[in-house]
Amino acid sequence: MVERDWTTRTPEPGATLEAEGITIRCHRQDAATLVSGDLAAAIKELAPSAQMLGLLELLPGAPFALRIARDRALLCTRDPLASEGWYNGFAASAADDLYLEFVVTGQRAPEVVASCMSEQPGSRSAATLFAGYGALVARLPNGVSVRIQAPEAAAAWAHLANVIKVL
Amino acid sequence: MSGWRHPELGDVDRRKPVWFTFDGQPLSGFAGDTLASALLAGGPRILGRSFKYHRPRGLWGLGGEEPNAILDVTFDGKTTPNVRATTEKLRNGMVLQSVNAAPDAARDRFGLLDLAHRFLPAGFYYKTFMALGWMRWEPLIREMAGLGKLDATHHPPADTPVMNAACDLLVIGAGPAGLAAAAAAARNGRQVWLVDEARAVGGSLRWRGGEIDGAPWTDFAATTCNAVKAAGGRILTDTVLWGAFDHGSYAAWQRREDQTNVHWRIRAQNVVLAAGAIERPLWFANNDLPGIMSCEAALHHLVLYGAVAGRRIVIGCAGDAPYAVAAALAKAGCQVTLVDARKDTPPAPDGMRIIRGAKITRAHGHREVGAVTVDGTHLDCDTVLVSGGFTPSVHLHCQAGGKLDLDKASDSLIPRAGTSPIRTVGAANGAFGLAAALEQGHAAGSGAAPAPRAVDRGWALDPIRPDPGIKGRVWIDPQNDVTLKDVRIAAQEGYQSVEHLKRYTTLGMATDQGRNANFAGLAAMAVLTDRTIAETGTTTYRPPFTPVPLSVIGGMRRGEAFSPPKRLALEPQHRTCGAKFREYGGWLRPAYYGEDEATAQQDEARTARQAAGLYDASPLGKIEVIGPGAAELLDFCGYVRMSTLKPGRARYGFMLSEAGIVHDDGVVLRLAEDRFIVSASSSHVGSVRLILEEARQDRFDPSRVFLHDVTAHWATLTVSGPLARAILADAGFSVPDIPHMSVAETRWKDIPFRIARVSFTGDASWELSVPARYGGELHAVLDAAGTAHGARWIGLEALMLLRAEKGYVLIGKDTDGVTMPHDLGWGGPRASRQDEYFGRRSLFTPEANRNDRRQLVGLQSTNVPLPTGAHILAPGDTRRSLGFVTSSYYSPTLDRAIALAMINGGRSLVGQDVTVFNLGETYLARVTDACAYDPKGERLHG
Repeated sequence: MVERDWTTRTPEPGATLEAEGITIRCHRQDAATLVSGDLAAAIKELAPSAQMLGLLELLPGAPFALRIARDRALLCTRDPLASEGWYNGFAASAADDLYLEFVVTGQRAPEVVASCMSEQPGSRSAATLFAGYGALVARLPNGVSVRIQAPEAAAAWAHLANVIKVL
Repeated sequence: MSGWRHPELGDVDRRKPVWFTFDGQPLSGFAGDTLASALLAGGPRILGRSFKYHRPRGLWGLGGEEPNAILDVTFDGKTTPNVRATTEKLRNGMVLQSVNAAPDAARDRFGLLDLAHRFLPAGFYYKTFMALGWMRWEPLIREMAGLGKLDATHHPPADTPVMNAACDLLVIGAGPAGLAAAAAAARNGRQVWLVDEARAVGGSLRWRGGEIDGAPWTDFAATTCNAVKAAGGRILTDTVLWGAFDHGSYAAWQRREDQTNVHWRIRAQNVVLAAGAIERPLWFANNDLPGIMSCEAALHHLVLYGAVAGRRIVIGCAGDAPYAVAAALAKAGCQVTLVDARKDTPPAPDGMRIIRGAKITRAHGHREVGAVTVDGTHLDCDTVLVSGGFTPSVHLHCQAGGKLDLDKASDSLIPRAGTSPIRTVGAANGAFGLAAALEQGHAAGSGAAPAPRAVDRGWALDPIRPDPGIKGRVWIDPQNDVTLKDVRIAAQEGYQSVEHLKRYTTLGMATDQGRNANFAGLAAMAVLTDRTIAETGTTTYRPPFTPVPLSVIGGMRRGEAFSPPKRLALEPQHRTCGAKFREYGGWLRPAYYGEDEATAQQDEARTARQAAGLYDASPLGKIEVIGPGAAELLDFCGYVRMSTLKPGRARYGFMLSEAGIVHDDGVVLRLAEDRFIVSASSSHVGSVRLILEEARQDRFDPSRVFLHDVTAHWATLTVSGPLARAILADAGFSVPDIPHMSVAETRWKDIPFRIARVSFTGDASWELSVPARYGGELHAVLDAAGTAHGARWIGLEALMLLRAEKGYVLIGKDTDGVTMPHDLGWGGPRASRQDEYFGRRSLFTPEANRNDRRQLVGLQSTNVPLPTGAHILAPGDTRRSLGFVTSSYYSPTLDRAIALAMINGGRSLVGQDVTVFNLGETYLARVTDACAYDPKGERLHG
């Protein structure tokens, strides 16, 4: 069997894509924890100042929580949370490296976003399909933050590289 | 050639000639021409050949409905097949080739087929081509039929981006009705997207002209566009809205000048369809000859391009619409005769003759029209323009589930209000006059102020239908060569439903998708079967409205982007070590390290048994099951009970389907009373999680157990082999002394560190997991320590060999869609568990209880590995397969070939010889236990 030559690579943190009016930079998350169950209790216990965010809501500084489902969220913090496992009413798992973050900025960032995801105004879940890959998407003052699961980051990055060439 | 270029009319740039060829003939046009207008003005009449009879065909229409002028276009060295001449812009250097003609449209040798037309009616191929077998005829038919030719060197770039958009109001069509709707809505502050397939807004106003609110229509159009943009909307021209999908989702194909296409996905709160109407032909004998065109198309080409259809023109009609066309042509210098089937008509425009109460019954000519018979009177001409009424473009309404009703006033099928989420206005709704179109559009845009005004008397018309009594060959669908006689044959043979009519005759199945033919076809069938049009019904409208290049829909997802595998966090490290990659279970993983696969596989497997093998096990699923209900959930979802597992221990088990079939296998690790990790196969992580999730939500209290797929968070490297323990010690890991099938959580350099003693090779193995960002450090440490002990990195090919030596199954390779756990020798839980678990009941069906089920065994043969997939036969039997080889390798450790197989009643055959058969070759093999190496498992304990 002939091996296919996969030329795409997972971007390293700091890698950048640029086109006129568009900059996309890859970041590694500081720390993150998947929480499920009583999300209010989870935030109160693990990161009391964290705000729960839906799709394209404005990201504050850490800590914050990106809602995934009715009873699941990704709690993003500056430092890893020590505790995993079952609490009273919720579960927690370390997820620091589950996602890579792509930050899309520039005056044409909205076109990149329009190319990669549909509008879902007011969605309470930050989870959506971005460029065909499951992602958590939030807004930044000058663009968007897109968290893609690390194993799919290579394909998503390559797609973005192609998109910004033709927009 | 009878068309000509008017010296002044048209919006082409006469200062910029454009040179091109058609079927090798050099021709010219001007910048701004389409292929159709340039050919009409200065090219030959015959532009193609019909599908079946290879009759000559000329230009008919003005847009996407064009059935005849389908060309292969070569530009910049690349050929695009089946381009509609009416919608393609002319560019310098284009090479145009007719399709379905050999050597070209003018000299097509298959035109002789038309002489045999009596033997080639609709459906003839269902009753012929049986002698000598179909495959004798198929290559010949394929050569003779069909349209353009593919250019194998032309790979359209995968460069079409998808753009998602949302709007308050989507207006499809920027003619008078669409402009009125957009204007009204924009003034109300609504965000309007106005989409039109032409290169400019205006629709039919662009060639018919007109005044709106006392000023040229262009003023109204410009004001509307400004209002749309000011309200935050958008105007897309050169954009075909081709599909209506569920939940207010619409697809559009935008062509951009000197840029890529764009595939739009638009989600609209409300939609107005103002897509206009398509002119119908008239039905008389030989109505397919080149030189017979749509009346509206002739006006379109005259006004927009200065391309005049002919000089001596006969116009056949039964309505008012062609009168403006006649007047324009007469003013342009043509000799025009109007033949109106009505006795009571508007006055004849200046400078032309009108024949009232008469119909064209026959066109004359061999290769193009030269005369017509009008109720027995012979009229010479070089061009015939026809107007049999208009068919509203209701496709998108119907795609959205809408129904149609026959409107007698307009003699057309128009949308039934309230049956689709789309509101249809203007000509698409049977309102053919300018004033009515403006009024309807304005109302659809919720205009509060009075509607824009226009002065017109509307278009009266008398219905015209194909006359089954007419003599001669009358074309209903010119593109697929379907005649009125074919409709009669279909009715006679019982194919009276419109769906049957369509499939039996192929009416409406060509690239014009019946836009020129469907109404006539169902009207003819209605007459022939003595039904109304409503009773006869319509066929189903499906996207796309017009052909859309696959490269637009496929977009950028080609090549590597088509189905990209998941990537390892440590891929760079493996590449540095010389790994060659391959996809396994949706992940790109090292297949082997080195240059030669066969050699590497053997060397890696040998080294793994003698020293140690290191491999990346990161893709193996890590689904955390957390909560007081975790054990209960796993007991239900798994074949092997996990609730009895102690924290710190691991257990191998299966997940079954509801039918009792083995869905996945894997190890479950218990970290705490209320916390497990399900290590699913890398390819089954998603489906295992779904099965768990469904049971969690449906059967159990979901607040007591949760699932977290954290596979990607961890990098897992495995050290396996007799020197594994020593390697770990030298690497500086403080490894707890845990037995095989155990797990421990600890820290390494203050990094979370999980160690599991599980083995996929049969040797003592340690799976080491760290957060992926530290995977590189782990890899470096193991690499150094491993190398010092003569270990090596091993790929999946060696790993599969090692596990096969132990008889460990790979789900999907050694199992298939009927394999149950007891087929694999795992009958214990089936016999002992009394509680309910997923798939349990299917394990006790008569099928599941059969003694001769295929069972997993090993095969020992000569030193040549048996072909995987080879069939097992009983000795002396040559026909009945007892099963097949599922895995087969040469074992460097055992220095012989090994294999696994699934054989009927296999376990009862252990010790017996069987024949193995593959592609004419036979081998002898002995059935053995599945495990060929270390059957007692002593190597597991290091």
